[in-house]
Amino acid sequence: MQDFNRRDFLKVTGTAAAVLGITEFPTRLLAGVDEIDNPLAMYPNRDWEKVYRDQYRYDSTFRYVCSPNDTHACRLQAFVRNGIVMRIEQPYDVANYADLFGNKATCNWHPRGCSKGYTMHRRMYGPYRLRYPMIRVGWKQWADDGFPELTPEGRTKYKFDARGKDRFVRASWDNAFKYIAKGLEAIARRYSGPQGAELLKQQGYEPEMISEMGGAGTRTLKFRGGMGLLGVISKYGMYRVSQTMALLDAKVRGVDEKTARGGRNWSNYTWHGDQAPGHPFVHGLQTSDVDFNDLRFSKLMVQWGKNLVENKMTARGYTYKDIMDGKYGEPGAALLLFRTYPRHPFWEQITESQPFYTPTGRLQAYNDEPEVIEYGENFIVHREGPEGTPYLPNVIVSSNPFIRPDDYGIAPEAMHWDERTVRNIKLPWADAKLTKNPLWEKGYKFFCITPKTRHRVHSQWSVCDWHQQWDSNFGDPYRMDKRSPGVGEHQLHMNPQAARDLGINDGDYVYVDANPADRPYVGWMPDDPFYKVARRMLRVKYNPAYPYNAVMMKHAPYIATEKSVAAHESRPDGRAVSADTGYQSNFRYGSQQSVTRNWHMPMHQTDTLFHKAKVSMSFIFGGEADNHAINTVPKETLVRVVKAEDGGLGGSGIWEPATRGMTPDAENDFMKKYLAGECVKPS
Amino acid sequence: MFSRLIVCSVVFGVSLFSVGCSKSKPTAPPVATPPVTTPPKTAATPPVVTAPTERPASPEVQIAAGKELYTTYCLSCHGESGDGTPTSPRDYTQGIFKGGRETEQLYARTLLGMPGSPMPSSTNLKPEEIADLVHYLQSLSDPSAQAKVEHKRTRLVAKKSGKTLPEAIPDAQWESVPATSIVVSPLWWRNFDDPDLKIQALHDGQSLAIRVSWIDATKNEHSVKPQDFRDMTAVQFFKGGPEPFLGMGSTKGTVDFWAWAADWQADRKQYADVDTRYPNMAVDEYLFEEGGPGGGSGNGEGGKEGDRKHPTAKQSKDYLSGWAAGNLLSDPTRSFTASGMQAKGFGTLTMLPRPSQLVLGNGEWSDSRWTVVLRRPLAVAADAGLSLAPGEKLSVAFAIWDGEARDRDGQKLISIWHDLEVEK
Repeated sequence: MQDFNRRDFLKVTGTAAAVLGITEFPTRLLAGVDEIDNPLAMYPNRDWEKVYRDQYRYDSTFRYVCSPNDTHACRLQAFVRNGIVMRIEQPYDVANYADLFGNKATCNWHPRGCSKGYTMHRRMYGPYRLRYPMIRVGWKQWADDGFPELTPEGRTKYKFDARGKDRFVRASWDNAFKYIAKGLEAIARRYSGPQGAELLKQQGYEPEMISEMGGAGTRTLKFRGGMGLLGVISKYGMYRVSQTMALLDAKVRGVDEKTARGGRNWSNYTWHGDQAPGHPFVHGLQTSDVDFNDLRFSKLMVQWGKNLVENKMTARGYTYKDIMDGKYGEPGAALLLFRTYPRHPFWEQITESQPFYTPTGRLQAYNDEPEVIEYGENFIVHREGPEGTPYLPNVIVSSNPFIRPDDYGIAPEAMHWDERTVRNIKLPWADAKLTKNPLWEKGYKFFCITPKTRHRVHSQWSVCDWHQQWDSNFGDPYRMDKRSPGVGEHQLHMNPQAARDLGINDGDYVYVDANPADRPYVGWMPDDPFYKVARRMLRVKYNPAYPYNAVMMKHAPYIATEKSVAAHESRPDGRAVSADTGYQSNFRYGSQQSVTRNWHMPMHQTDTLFHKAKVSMSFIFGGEADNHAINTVPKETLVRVVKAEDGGLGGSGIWEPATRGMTPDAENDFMKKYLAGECVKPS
Repeated sequence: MFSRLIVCSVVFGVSLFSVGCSKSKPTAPPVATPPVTTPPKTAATPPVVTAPTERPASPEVQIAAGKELYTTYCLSCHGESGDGTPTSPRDYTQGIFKGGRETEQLYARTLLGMPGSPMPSSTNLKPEEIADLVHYLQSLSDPSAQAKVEHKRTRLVAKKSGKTLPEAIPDAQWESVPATSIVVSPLWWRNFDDPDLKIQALHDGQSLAIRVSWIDATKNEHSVKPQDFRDMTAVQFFKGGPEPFLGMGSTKGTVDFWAWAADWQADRKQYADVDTRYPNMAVDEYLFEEGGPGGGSGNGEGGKEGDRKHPTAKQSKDYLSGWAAGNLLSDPTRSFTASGMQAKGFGTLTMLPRPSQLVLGNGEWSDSRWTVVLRRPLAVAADAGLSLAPGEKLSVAFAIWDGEARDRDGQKLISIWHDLEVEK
């Protein structure tokens, strides 16, 4: 029955270890715990610590500014070994360099950096990053065929109606640029002149929009430069590209330099609902008066899903050379001075030529511009959400007789999304509270909010596996439940009682459906295979912090696609990783976009109005990129929540962690005592 | 202060390694004087509790009265039927008591409680009430239950084989070797079934083979997942005197171990790696993996993973701390199924250096029983553990771990010291 092999046997019966010739391990004999008379005179053997010192050893370091879309611009330090960035830490040096006048920040700003910055190397070396240009096969074919007009048959032929199922091919940078240029040229040619205008008319554009183009096809091209502060660093280059489309126009239409027209600058920054909606009508500024000192000394802060807005004002007086020569501290470092340091609220109001950049130079509680009166917002008023309300959507709640909006003849019963967005109906609260939102009446009774978390992963959630794990209560590198799309997945926070009333346990999978009129997409049908891809499914996490009628899902996860769903349903391990692109979805099915939509309310579109200029202390009328285009759109939406699958391992029973007595609304006696502070006896 | 001193003496009498010991070799005898009401004069002469004179009532009456008291005072921890549900004190129905089932012993522990455990003192009860309780507790089990689990020092003999033992000793040969039953009980208490541990030993003048056999209903041969615990057995040796502390020896007495673990043996067939135990796991990359970070991934190549993307063998040893520090257990290239170890007291258990690993082990699990043979040359070099020779007498002790019961480290079933004679 024994299973010793010959080598083992020889080892035993042979003369001994010397035969084996193994010398790699030092034959240090057992080091027992000896009697120690004087602990001060004795130090235990700690050779093993060398292992850890070796692991943290590095060849070199460098410091740099981590400057993603979040605008924090944290100085970080990278540690390099064998040419590889092993880890990223903060240098804790924010208090060591100065501004123009020698002011220094305090150590209170430590630690800088977020987990996204600390994992940048993992993102760079990881499997999800694009490393070279790729072109969609159908699009490339369309380009190679000379961009024929996209008839319904052509859309199918070139897979414009199934892009998610198409493949990508690798391209050289030269080729990629060529194809981009070919595409821009094709657009400019197609929409130039009377023929182009006719084409746009057929496509449903309003005559005012078409005449605004002046016959230049280049005017249909839109370029987005990116958010203000970062735009200064890099992305504003896209606006310059937009201007250079005038060169293309000169070529296409054969016009001179005075007539040639460039592309359009497209600023959709605050379409994201990215900033706190401080309105320039009142202050002349959108938002810039937050000082973190106020937060630091506050006892209670309620932050509802928006950026904390910093001081997006102009830095002045610095030169690249000064900074790199170390004039302000370590070479390359400077504390940027945005007029004052630290930020003094209302400093401008007492030192500038006028207190506020409004028409009156004062804080304005009343505005008399015609469009403001038309929209019924000449006084500060409350509007219900265009969708997220139990009452009449977008109703202006006021009894002020001087508010006299134009409802454009749109009846209160009209519920098309455009009608809801532009209609201005004023009702006093006594009447407004009697109105009903028909969507609410149909059972869509949860306000779904989709905020961001600032210091975890601004803008993109799951750029590497670690973030997928940290992101939710369902992170699991071992993926013991192979239903999980990756090593983590998205979750819906829900009031426990609300969930229980719907038969939903903590950790269950649920479907989240929004207004069926246009979501998950316009024209969806239950038997459309894409409906399964687009219908949002995720896990519920009980969270008593949320009111009964509110559910929350953090924004910007990677959406499920046709290919991620195909992988999820066919791979033995169930991972939702697209087969040919390596794209990792954070959902099994659906996305944030399954339930949300933008509401571009007229009063938020300030591009004809006055405001403070973004990059100077001055006063301007009209549009300006980013902060004064669309000024933040509401995204709260109404949803219903339906149980999809049990949360237990493999789809059976309750999600195990929710059965241990340590989770919200399932607390055992000990946990209740702990929460009541009864586990500690005051002495 | 008074009660604490008394308790010290009682607890001392039931130290961990004398669980249920036979009264013939008590560690501290339950002396009947002085009575409980007399305060101690000095710490050097600790008093011991004595039970009161039996009251004139029939046992049935006493048991009935005891049951009522039990329901009032004991049930919330010890359970309605005394089986320890919902908490985990001793199961009264098994009849195995931490410090013996004699009336005085039970009386003392009930009165004084057991410091260091949740068992409180019962000074609110009258002596006769406690006596009633004791009668009730005794009535819940058969007195023979305690006797069955009493550890009794036994003499084992490693028979000398006339012929050189073959590479694999056939079962038939083992059948002729007498088997000795050894009592084991949990070092950290848990309820358990008697594993019917049997020991046989055989040598041929060159090597010594010890066959350890015990009942284990479930084969547990993995230890990769945090939820995994493996089956295991170990034999502890000491030669000479005085015998050191049973638990890992002492600075004055090094003890040797031969240990076999089911996962070591399973690993020789197929190394159980994290990604074989978690086949659905996923990781973006390991920075110092063979082939470099993110080797071959990006732009779609992330979707073309092989079956085993990140096996331990492809990792840099420097970043697997246990392996880098020389811990044989962390070494994915280790090839042993059994291991020689030494200890000189708590916290000192150490595997012998790799060249000195001369213990072989092979286990077979069938019919809910492990049969493990441990074997090593009798004579070994000084750095390879305890050298043995025919005719020598040794102290031995045995331990078994049940993975299904999540046994590990000190959570195991152990014997006391026994005697092993290597037949001349």
